[in-house]
Amino acid sequence: MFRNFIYIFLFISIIGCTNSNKECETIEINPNGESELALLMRDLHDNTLEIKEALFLNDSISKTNLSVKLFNEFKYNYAAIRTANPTESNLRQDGIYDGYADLYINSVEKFLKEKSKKNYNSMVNNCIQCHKHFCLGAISKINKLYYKK
Amino acid sequence: MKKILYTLFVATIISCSVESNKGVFGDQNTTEEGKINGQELLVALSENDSVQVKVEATINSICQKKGCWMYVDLNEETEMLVRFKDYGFFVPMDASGNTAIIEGMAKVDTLSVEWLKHLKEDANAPQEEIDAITEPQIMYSMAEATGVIIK
Repeated sequence: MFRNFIYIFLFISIIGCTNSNKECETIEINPNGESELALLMRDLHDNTLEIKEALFLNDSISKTNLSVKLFNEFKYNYAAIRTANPTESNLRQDGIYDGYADLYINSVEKFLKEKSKKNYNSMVNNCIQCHKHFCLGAISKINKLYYKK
Repeated sequence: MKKILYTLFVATIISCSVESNKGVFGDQNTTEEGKINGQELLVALSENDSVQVKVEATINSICQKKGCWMYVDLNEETEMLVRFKDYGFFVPMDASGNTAIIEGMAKVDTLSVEWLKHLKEDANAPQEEIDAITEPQIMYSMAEATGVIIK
């Protein structure tokens, strides 16, 4: 009975330690924890960088079509910008954020209809305009998404 | 045997529940080797426009929204604003007062009114204090720190 108890205890401890390591992996960027919106924006940044590389920088890839996986992921992510939970709970209170979100969504939809460099840069520009209002820190990173040739 | 079990149990609970605000943030290969202190950095910046450096300093405040910037004391009168490369990592919001070794390019920078207000907002400063900012400020800055060790 006592031995069984020790085995159960050790098993739970191991599981517990494994889980805490997983937590460490997910909070590597921010030890304070990331909101749903912050994580989404990091994904959108990565999606956008991939799009830039696929459409404008890599000659060996088709210039008109994104991979289905990237397209679906991006489509899901950009639409979620309207609903994901932000770091600050009052972000959507005055409607300013939603205005910027709509501008961004419109520019993404325009880009997806016509994948030109101009439409791509307009999409990035709308990210910057919103960040100028709400979170200046990320702007230097987003600036690198512009297609500059 | 029961005592051993209880001790093991308590030790496990404690090790699981203590959340540390110490550690290496950003580049995990950041070391203390070659670090200088704040005063030495000030001397270096009086002779150069910018200095690639590892500086040891006390954290005096941290962004209370996300941990995306911090001020460190270079000496009793001078502080430096530290931000993190490509918004790629943040520091624990409760690490004010801790000693940090920060690696990156330090320089004298001009911070815009927009940025100064944003920093105050992140620090949860009163609105009057935010509204009172009307001019850019020249300050010591490390805009793209690559790694931070917090002790």
